[in-house]
Amino acid sequence: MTLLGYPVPTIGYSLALAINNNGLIVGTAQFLRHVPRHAASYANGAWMDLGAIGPSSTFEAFATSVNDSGVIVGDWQNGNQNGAFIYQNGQISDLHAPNRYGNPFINNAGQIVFGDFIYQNGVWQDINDLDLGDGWKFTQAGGINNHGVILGYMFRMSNGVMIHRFGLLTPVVPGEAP
Amino acid sequence: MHSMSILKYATSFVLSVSAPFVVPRPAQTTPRYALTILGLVQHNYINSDFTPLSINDNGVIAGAGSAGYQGKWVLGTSILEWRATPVCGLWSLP
Repeated sequence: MTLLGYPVPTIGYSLALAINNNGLIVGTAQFLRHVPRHAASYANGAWMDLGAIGPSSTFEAFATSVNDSGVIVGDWQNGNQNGAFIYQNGQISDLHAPNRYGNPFINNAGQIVFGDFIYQNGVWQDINDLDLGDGWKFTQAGGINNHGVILGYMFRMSNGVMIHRFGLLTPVVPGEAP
Repeated sequence: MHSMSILKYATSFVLSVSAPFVVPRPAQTTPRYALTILGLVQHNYINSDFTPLSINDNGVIAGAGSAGYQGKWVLGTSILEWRATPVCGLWSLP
């Protein structure tokens, strides 16, 4: 086991949330005392500050997924505001996501899922705009793999009772955008 | 919202149903996606609590969960995985 340690040992906070096939680890860490946590990556024995969206004195950021090209996504929070960000080419930027909670996930095709939305080709699309059949409503993505298969939480009504399940959405044509 | 745990965002849902088991099945109709319902953690326990955390390129899902019946949790929180099989999906302890 390798301990990842902290970017600032005297502060002592780091949290790893995902890793890609090249060993790049992403998560969140505290780089300054009394400053909210920033998105962070870990490679070659060191943590790197990826920054945050908005003023670093109030905004927190969490890197939650990284693909094999090193493109990182995550979520940010500022009080009641929250959203999703992307980090690529050394820059962190807001994805202007719908107001949802949860972890964004990205695959090698660059498809991003966040809440009940998918982002591709620069556009957010509500997954529930698609007919999932049997009255199922998709509410929360829990991951997307490189075949475009989406893991998530969903529900439907049955005789007045709400049925909750986890499920998979598999593209009819693998990897195809919905 | 954020906790110190790796489960910081994972949402745990207690599933209470009268049917003993829901067999995962392909979707009804959608032009773009086929829907597979993952079923319950243990087919003979009517209460299931599962939090999936990750899916890989082989479709194996990892997460954590518990199972029980009549309000009693008979399995403590465990690491679980889900794999598609020719018959149905299967939850198991890895």
